[in-house]
Amino acid sequence: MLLDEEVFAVILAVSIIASALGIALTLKPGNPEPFTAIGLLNEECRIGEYPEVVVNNSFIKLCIYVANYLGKPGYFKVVYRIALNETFPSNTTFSPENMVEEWRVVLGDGENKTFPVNVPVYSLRGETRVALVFELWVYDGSANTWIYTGRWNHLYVNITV
Amino acid sequence: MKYAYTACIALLLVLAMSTPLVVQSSDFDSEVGVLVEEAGKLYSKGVDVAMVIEKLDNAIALYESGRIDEAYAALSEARSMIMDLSSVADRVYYYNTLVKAVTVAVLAVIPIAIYLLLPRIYLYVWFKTRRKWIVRG
Repeated sequence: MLLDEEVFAVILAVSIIASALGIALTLKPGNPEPFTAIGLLNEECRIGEYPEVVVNNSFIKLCIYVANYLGKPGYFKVVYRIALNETFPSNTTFSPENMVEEWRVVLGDGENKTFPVNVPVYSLRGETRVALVFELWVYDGSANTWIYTGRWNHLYVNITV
Repeated sequence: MKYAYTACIALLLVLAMSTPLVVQSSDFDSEVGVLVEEAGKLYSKGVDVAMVIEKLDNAIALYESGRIDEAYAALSEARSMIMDLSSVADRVYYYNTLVKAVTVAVLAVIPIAIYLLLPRIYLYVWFKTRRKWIVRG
């Protein structure tokens, strides 16, 4: 035979695999694993070189990064609190400390935003080492409520007088 | 029995005092939330909602800077953009579905076409490239 049968079989097999892969990629769901992300950056909006010692009742500049991979647009807010070890947030509960500031942002699917913030820092209940906690919340339009995403960032600082 | 009641009451008290995972929102938040939800429905149909998202984000920035009237005006603009996009959403959805169906059909036909046509095309090319050959005895 002019066209070798084995060569023909290999070409056919490759075409079947490529076709199946192409169909699977075409029909795959938009975002099988939705998630959100929050990041804390220094005042130049870079990782590292965070302030370690802060004067009591002063302000420090930081940057916050928020990303949306929920597979749909989302309405987010970042809540800033000053917390101690015993009032830290967890993956399921937010910190019980009072909110100091909050920032809102609307992001499309796959979008992210980095924005500078100027946050007040002060000693909490006389403690000289506090954590600056930034929690990510998402708005649930069907229930008309803010829901804690379970994602947060923190930065420990030592307070001086 | 008394201890069981005490334990139940203590458990209920702890649950009642535990921190809730949700927080009630303001009117502005609920308006933005509704519009984001609407934009999400359009997005799921394949409509490009980037302009709406930008407008909503702009409204929030205005609200946070204390320009409340301008913020609500931006929300109104976003609402009208969503209404405009809603009118074409179904058409976009059907078009995207059709494109997807045609893509799948074409991909599914490729192996069959190779099975049926490859030997014929190969033979045709083989004979065509050798048509001037002279066979000598």
